[in-house]
Amino acid sequence: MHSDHDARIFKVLAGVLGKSAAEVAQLAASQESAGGDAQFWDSLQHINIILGLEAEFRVQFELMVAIDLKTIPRIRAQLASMLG
Amino acid sequence: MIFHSLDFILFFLFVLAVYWNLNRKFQVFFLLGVSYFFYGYIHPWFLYLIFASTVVDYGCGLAIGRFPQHKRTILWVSLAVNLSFLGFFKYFGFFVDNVAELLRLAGLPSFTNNLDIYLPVGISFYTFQSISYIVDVYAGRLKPRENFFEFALFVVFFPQLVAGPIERAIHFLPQLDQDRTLKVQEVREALFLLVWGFFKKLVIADNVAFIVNKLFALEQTTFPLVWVGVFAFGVQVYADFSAYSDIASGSARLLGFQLTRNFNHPFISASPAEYWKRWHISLSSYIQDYIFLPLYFYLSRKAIKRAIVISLLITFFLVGLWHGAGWNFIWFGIYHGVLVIIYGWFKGFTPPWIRDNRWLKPFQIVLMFILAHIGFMLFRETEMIYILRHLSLSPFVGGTPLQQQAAWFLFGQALFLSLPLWIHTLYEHYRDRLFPADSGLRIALHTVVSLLMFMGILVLRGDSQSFIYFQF
Repeated sequence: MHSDHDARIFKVLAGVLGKSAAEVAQLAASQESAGGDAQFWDSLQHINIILGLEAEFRVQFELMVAIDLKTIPRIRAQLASMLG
Repeated sequence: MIFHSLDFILFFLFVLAVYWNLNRKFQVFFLLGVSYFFYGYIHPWFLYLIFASTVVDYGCGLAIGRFPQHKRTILWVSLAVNLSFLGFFKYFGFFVDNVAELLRLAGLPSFTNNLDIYLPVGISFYTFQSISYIVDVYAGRLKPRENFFEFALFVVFFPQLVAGPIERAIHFLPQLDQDRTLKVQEVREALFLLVWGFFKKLVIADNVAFIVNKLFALEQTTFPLVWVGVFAFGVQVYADFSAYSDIASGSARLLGFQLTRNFNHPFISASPAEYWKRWHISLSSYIQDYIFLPLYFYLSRKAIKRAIVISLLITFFLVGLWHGAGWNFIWFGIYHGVLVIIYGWFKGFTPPWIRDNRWLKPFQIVLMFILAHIGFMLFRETEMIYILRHLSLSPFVGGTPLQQQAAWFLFGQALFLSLPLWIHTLYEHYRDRLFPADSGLRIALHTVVSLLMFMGILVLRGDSQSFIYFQF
């Protein structure tokens, strides 16, 4: 995974969640260690994160895929598969 | 067959005795057979409908796997069939009534609805389960289940068939692939859940139902009497519905299955959003994932103004409609949607030192408790004229001295009956700190409390009432 992608993902998350990029990086690490299943944002923030990621990376997620992108590891994996 | 009957106890003992002597493959056949028996025991006619629904969704699941290029069409076929069954049996009579009423109001020739459509018990629950399977297969979250009998068992699994929890295929079906064992700790926890569930139903819910039925039947009422009735109904519906979920979970655990937790002490919620994360969790999380999020995402992407408000109102309208074919349920849903919107709006400009202030939390919990009970009034009172009458009663008019005494007396009774619920909330809050899992202390406590509850059931059980959520 490109670290450039990480930085851009963290920027989007930081904007929606009202946290610093460093705090988001910590969230990412804790989600990794929790097996990637712990969600740290609510459903409204989730949609705003998805829309923010679509704007940032100029991609469009399929509806069902977007609903499943509830953690940073899943977001990373999905973007990696779409952007290479 | 209802849980709190001798029939069920004998049936379940027979199931356990045979089930654990079979290998995994035959356990599925056996559970499928006894689940159909359980459901057919209520009314044999119900079996045709659930079987038809099962065949359609099984076929559609396989078809999505074989013809992925047509998966959208197949998804729509499945949704159309499932929602047609649900729509006809649950909502058609309501729809016809309203058309007749509209014609009458418009001064046009109207008609009387002579349709008497029998509502198959649990149809809302198993329809949602089947839909979860098809949507998850469509989304690629789940592989189509090749084995028909396993899929049929997912739809008809008897412990949670009639009133949930609404089990998702992605949670239930993988359990069929694992060897099921029965550990001593599992048995202990399952038995405690069963006794606690029966206690909540037979001692709390059925006794408090007496107060509720009396107070809601009063022609001449007062503000205190109405709100004591509403408080008592809150106790009743929580005890009744969570009892069903606990008995379902306990029964399933004794068969080696884990069901979704359906309640997490909803009356300590500090906001509507938190309330719906604690109340009927299997429904609210289902609605969130399968209706709210897709809808909100779709509207947001289309840059529709106030997408969040529209999505929340539509979602909660459907939550209300899911509960029943009646305007009171629709208002119940919309009321909760409006609460979520108002709280979200306030949250936007409330400074964190107020929002996250732990000293204010008790006040937030009390406020949410009151707001949730206003919702219960809409839930319980089916006639709009009575709802409006209750809401227009003045809190400064207490009625005659006898009415005031009666209100205090019945409030005391309802509060006393609800005490075990509050104690249970406190217990679960401190349990892991004071009584570590599997410790001798916890085992001893559960044994003593289970025996006390068992004696309570024998001595204090109220007049038997059907589970409230059976009607959905």
